[in-house]
Amino acid sequence: MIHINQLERIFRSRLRRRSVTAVQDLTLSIEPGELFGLVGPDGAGKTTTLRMLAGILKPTSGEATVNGHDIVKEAEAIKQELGYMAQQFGLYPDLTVDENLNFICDVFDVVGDAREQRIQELLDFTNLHDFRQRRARQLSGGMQKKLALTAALVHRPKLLLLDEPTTGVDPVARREFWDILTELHASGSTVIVSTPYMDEAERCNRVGLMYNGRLMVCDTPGAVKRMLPGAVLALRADNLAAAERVLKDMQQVIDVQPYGDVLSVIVTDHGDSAAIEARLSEAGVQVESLRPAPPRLEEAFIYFVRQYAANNHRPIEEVRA
Amino acid sequence: MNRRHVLAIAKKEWLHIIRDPISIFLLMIGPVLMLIIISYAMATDVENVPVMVYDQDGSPESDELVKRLDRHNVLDVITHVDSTAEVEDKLKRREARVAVLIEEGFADQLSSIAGLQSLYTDGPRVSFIIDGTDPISAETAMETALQVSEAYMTERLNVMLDEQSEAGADETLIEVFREQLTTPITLEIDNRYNPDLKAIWDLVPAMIAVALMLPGMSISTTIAREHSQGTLESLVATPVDKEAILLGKALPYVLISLINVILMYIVARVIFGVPFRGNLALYLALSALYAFATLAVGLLFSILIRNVEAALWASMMFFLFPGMFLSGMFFPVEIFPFVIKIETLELPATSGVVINRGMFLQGVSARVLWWNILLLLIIAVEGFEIAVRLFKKRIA
Repeated sequence: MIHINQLERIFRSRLRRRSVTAVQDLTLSIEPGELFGLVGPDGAGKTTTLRMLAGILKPTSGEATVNGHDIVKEAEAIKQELGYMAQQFGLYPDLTVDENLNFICDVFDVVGDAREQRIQELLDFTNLHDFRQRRARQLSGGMQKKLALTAALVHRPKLLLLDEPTTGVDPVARREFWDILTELHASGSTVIVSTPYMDEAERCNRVGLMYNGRLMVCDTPGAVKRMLPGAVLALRADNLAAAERVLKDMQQVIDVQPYGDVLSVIVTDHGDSAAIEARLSEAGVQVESLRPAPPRLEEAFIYFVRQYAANNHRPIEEVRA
Repeated sequence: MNRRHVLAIAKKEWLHIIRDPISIFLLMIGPVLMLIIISYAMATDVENVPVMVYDQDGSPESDELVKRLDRHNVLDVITHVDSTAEVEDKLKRREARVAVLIEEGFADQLSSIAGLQSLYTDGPRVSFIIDGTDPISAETAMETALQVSEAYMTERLNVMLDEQSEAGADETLIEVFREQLTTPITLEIDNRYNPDLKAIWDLVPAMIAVALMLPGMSISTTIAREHSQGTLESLVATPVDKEAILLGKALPYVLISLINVILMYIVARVIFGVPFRGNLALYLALSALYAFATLAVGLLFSILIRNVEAALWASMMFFLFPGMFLSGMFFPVEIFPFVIKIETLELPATSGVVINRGMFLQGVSARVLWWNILLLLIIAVEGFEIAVRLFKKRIA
């Protein structure tokens, strides 16, 4: 479905003679029917990647094809078959839900009886029926996102590119949105979604972790988690800040990451928990509990980012090999 | 180009316009308001310029001169003063714009042969000071004051010479004076289109063309607005083609321009009483062409400048100021240096002014206007073509 080879995009500011490499050395293939998550913090290059795939941004070098169409030479052919949902709300705030959808149907040549049928179907799907006469501006953030998704689906695209579709949306609406995506995935659509949220990444069949314009790791969420060396221990203690300082210096501790009132300690081996407890009480930290925990994607991601920075930004696989 | 796509874009643009109360007001009423206000302000013929009199002669003749000046509707004698200091003072305060200074001996100069001789040797005993800060009214007031005074003095001197001749003065000497006293020459002006030289007849049609540039200015922010609103990214990610986007954006503005033309036509005829001597259907067709030419240029700005304020400023610098000063509305294009003359060719307003004046006052046919129609066609077609070429369905 999508083949990306050594894609690179550099933004040059002509005035300030500065250039920013938004995406570099990106090589990736995505098969039909995948629900692929592009995961990474702000500024990782997710949006730039999706824009290039949507045919609205020229790469500086490298190449990519979407449905067999070249993203530079055949951009218009890609747009015909693509459902693209930009990060920013792309519909017209002063138009009603109906007017917006009719406009998009016109533009994608969804006409006649098929149009009303399709709109009905999608509004059922996204639960926007009661809001057809409402101006898009007056919809809540979550409803706007659902409307934008509806608009991206009117022409039954083979491929959906969704750029952070749930950013700024409340947790309930977020869950609803992902239920819709899961349904789309189940019905055979290819979906590429970018997200800064790890819980969303867990729901993808494959994730690509992006950082500083590079793809660090790309695999199934399970495989990515397994790439985390050693084991994870969850620590609760009276003084987590002191605990973090102490643990960081221990040889068998690979990484320490705070998550609220829990400290995730990534160690070379489960068996080390006794040594860790001893070291903590020696430092005057009262341990409430210290037990093995299943690794989470977030822990893997943060570990990779730290490793990546320490290894001069070489991709993780390369470092391991 | 897909017709459905053009209509879809046109429909959504139309909704944007009518859903924004400020933009619908500015676009529908703006040009008409501009026409009414500016025409009223600029074309009111000069009347009742305040005049003060410093009369040191105090004779029946000086009284008569002042009366005649006051009787003319351009001038209005408002006060008499008693010193040159007061004259200076009132001029500075702008209480009076013209001062009539009559020196002692004014009557004497008009009532004897010796006086007449002194008129030529020492100069007349009447003079004027005019406040030139407003050149248009100053010029009119000056001409009027001179005309009235010369006429009165000539008349009075002729009466005096008649009396002298009856009293048995030397006939040959009288004849010499009469010869010298040539009455002010009056020119027959054959003015066909604006016999009363009504400035307003000339101004209103030109003003219609200038006011019709407002939709062009308005459309110059259309891409910038979608850009800042965030909708451009989604729009360019759809398969709609560039021509359809640009043409669709222009169509509602063409419609608005035509509504404006009709409103302004009514205002010109009813409020300003300007005659319309051309073919109305042709006029509407040419107005649509003119509107499309300005819109094509507006679209070009819109594509080049993706910042709402900057696009508006750029279009103001292109449309409004040159439209007013270089289009021939106030100053005839013939007086400009060659380079500027060439420059005016690419201003749609220049041709718009010619066409509007021609249609209203002269009732000319399309054949007479071919050069300006051709210019507008070139601006419309080339402007649109360049806009399409420069518009990329990409971001950044």
